[in-house]
Amino acid sequence: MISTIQIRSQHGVIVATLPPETDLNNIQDVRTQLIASLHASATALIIDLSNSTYLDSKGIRLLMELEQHLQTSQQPFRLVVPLESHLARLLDIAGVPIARDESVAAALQSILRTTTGPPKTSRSLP
Amino acid sequence: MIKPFSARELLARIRALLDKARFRRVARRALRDGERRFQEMIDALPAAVYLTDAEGRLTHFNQAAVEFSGRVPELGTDQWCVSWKLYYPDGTPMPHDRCPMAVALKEGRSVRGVEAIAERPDGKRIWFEPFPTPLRDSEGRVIGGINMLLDITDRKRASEAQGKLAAIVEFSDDAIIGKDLAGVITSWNRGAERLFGYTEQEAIGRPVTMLFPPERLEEEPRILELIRRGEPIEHYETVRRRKDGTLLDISLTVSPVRDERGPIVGISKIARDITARKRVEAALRESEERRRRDLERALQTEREITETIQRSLLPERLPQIEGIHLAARYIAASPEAAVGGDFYDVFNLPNDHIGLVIGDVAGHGVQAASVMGQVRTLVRAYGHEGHPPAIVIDRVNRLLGRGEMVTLLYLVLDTVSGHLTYANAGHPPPLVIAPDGTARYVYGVDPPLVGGSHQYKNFSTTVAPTSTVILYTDGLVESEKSIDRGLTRLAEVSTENAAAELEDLANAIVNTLEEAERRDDVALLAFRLQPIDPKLFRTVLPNVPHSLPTLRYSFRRWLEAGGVPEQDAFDIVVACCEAGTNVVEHAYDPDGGSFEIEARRDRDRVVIWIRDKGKWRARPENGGGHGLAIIHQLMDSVEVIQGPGGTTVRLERRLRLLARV
Repeated sequence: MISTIQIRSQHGVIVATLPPETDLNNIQDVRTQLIASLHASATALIIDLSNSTYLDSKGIRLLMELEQHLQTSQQPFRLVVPLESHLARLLDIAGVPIARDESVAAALQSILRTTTGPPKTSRSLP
Repeated sequence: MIKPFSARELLARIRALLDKARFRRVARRALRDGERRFQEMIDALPAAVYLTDAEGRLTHFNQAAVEFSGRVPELGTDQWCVSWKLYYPDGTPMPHDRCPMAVALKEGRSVRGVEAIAERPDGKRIWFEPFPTPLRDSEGRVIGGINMLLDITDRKRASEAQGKLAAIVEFSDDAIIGKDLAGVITSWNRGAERLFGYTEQEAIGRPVTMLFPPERLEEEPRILELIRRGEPIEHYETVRRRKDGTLLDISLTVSPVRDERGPIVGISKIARDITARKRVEAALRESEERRRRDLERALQTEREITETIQRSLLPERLPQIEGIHLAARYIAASPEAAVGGDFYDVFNLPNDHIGLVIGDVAGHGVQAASVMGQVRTLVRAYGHEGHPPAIVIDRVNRLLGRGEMVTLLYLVLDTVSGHLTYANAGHPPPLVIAPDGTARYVYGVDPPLVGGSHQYKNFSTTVAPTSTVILYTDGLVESEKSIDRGLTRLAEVSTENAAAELEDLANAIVNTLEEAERRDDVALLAFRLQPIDPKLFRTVLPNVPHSLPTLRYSFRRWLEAGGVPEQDAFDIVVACCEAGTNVVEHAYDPDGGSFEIEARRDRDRVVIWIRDKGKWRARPENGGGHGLAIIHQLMDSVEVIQGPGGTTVRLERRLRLLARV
């Protein structure tokens, strides 16, 4: 199984494309590469699942962890998943609370709209 | 031997009688009697004796003189000697009138202590010592002479040989040692002095064992025993010790010394120093041995490396894919031969497709094996990206190093439809055997990979269920005298065994190869499409992560073949794989073990049993918790049944979309 994830940076946003399938076989590699890509200067993260056909509970848990981490550091995080896909349905069933877009372009637009709008202010802690 | 003086005594008495006979007839008669008796006595002597008158003319000779001279002397004619020719001891001719008898008669004295050589008419030479004595009358006048010739040839020859031998022994480079039967040294030449360092005085009288290193002492009784039995020992290589303690490699020749009567009276030993030869031999042997060891080690290392690479590159076990039987064989040309670059691979692809690869890297050894590894990895990588076979092969070709040559066949099989897409870079054609035994080669081939770019083409065919496809490397068909004959034989064997189990078919094919014909490695990969029973799915998989994709593909294929709607199928596969993940992750025995998945389809319902021998655990704090949560979301019923032998998870799902239709 392919473990390599494609990572690129667009306008300071990390765009990571997951392999077609993510399960017990490659979850460690995927996790390591994703975490390594999240350097401090990254303004946001997009995980592209549009090429993915399978994501198991380990993958879903990784997405949840990243969501928690990025929420703390106030870095926007979005997923790219075709709306009608099996994967989208699976994310719904698993209750993954991450914002989704249909394409990387749409995700980028969503992020840039937020960050280039009003000057970035630190979110008040609860 | 007759003593000359006793003859003289006799003669004196005869002379006395002669004097008296002048006066008396009785005395004259007595003289005649005495003369006759005297001649009879001479004739009876074993030594050559003859008589002459005062001028040296022969008056009488005995039989021994005939034998000595090899001729019958003539009385009254032959003068001075009975011999035919005479020589001085130095070999120069001796005139008869100078012979010892001539000297004795002319000078009126007995001649003693001289030696001469007589030559007989047959050419034989005889060393002799003469004893010529003049005979006188009562007035003292010489009236004749008597001579006896003593044959001393044997003595002469012996002493001559002894002299020569002594010279040889003395000046020999070899150590020549005499010893008696008790092993005491009796002679010691200069060679022995040089070789062993002892002088003659030091050595003689001492036991020969002083030359033996302690660990060789038992050799001496064995040598003595052999010699006593009269068996000489020749070129026996052993070790002896010098006076200074250094050890010598020597070659020993030991022979018995007999006296002329035959018994062994001593032992002669010739020892030759072979230390230098030994050293050269040892050096040669060692260098050869070292070279051989180095070479062997290098070859062994290379073979091990290559085999390790190859083993690691060939699939450890073929993936289990529901509905597809797979069999593979790899036969090395011979244990001594370098490992070849033949390889095969099978891997799952998305959407119920599998990739099948067979290839052959030109050459042998580490280089070929590493190229094979690169090619295998590239085909897997490009294949997983979903490219059609022609594109995969073209990309591999572009990345191949210059100077390499690879034949490669890559097939993508749709396990549901039996549709086969392939591209062939110079590899022997796949053989398809229909259920009725009809064999056909699937042609369509492009040039081998040599690096660079080539427009490879995709070919396709459809394989019916229960059909068998055989992929192989050229070693399988080239062993025949012609490849065509090899291909014909392969087709024949495959047809004959078309109904056999796939493993048996593979064995039958491999067994057609004669041992001696295996000049090259042979790789064989065969697969057979099994018909799918839409009502029952059952598979057993090892407790390893890699079983999960296998389970996904085969299970999805079964669901699709049974017409289960895609969304239901996806959910069932996800639930089933989450259960499988839990088994693999919490495997009771991490080094082995397996789990079984059985599924039954009953109109609008699918029931799945996942059985393992471990204790099924669901820990809410980790992925297992997520997994179980997801399973519960996707399935209508989830039961975990703990039994003494393991855990069974029973999942049930109603086919929602089918029900809706």
